[in-house]
Amino acid sequence: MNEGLNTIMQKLADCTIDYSVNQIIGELSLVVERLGFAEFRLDNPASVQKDLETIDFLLSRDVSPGTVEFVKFLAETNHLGVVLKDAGLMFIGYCQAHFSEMKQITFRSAIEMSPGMRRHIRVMLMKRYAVSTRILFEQEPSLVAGFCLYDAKGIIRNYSLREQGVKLIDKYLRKRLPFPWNQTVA
Amino acid sequence: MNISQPNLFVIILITVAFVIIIITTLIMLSMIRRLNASFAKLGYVTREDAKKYFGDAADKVVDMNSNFSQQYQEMIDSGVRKVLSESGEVMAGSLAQAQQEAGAVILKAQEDARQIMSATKADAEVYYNKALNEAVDAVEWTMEQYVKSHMDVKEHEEVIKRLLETYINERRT
Repeated sequence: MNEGLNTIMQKLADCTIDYSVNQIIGELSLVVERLGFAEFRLDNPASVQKDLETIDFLLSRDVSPGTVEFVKFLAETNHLGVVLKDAGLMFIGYCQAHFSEMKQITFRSAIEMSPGMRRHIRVMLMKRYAVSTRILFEQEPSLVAGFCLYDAKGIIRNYSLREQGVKLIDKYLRKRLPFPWNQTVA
Repeated sequence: MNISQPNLFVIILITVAFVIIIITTLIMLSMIRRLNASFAKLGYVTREDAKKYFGDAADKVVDMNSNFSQQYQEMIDSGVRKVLSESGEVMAGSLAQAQQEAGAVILKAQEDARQIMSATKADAEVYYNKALNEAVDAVEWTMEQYVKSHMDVKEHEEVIKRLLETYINERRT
């Protein structure tokens, strides 16, 4: 049982690797609610293809692809009961407890990071943070170039060209302009 | 001859009248002389009395003046000493008050100057920061335009990789 649950949680983590904890919990709640209202049943295990089509129909418009992929994985592995009825509510509670223990870091960059680049960044950040740390990626064009790292408390490090450029320009101008209090500025 | 009788009587009368007039005149002359002498004597006495009186008065005036002058001198000296004494106290008080006021004025001036300097400095810093921000904005905008137009995805990723290595190495050290 634990092995099966670990597999499910690992798949969920893989499918939602770029999602925030709030998004994951919110979408799983929607999945449980939507499948419950649709009275989704597991009467015929042989009709997996039909179940996948129904899942697509019910979820693809309102749920992100990673979550849909996870639900399809559950259907394909005959574990869809995890997100149905009372088991579904228990699963959401379990996920909340599971993900709330994880540290979450947001990596913001001026351009969208490609999948290869995301992997590289994750590998690099694993040298500093725990393996279970969730690393989210966001695009913020105002950074111009470089990146910013945020955690739940706020900004960790600002390596954006905007920040560094402003500091350098400020430093340069303060050194050049003849104000007496410039000397007090580091 | 009847005519000569009355003439004699008239002559006698005229003669007696004449004698009387002469005698009266002499008496009056004598009296006038004596009166003159009396007046002269009286004038002399009066003058002498006046002299004496005024002389005494003058002496008194001189004495009085002398006394008054002495008293006046003493009063002046006393007054001057008193004034000097009081003025010393007044001056001391005035000086202390003036010193306090001067100190207060100096402190106020220093405070004003400090506030003026602070305000000036603050204003200057505000203008300076404003100018700085504008300069930074201009450079930033130019830099942003340059980066957007000249840096491709590959270059962006290379920059991020280098900065990421810097961050990881920084954390390790």
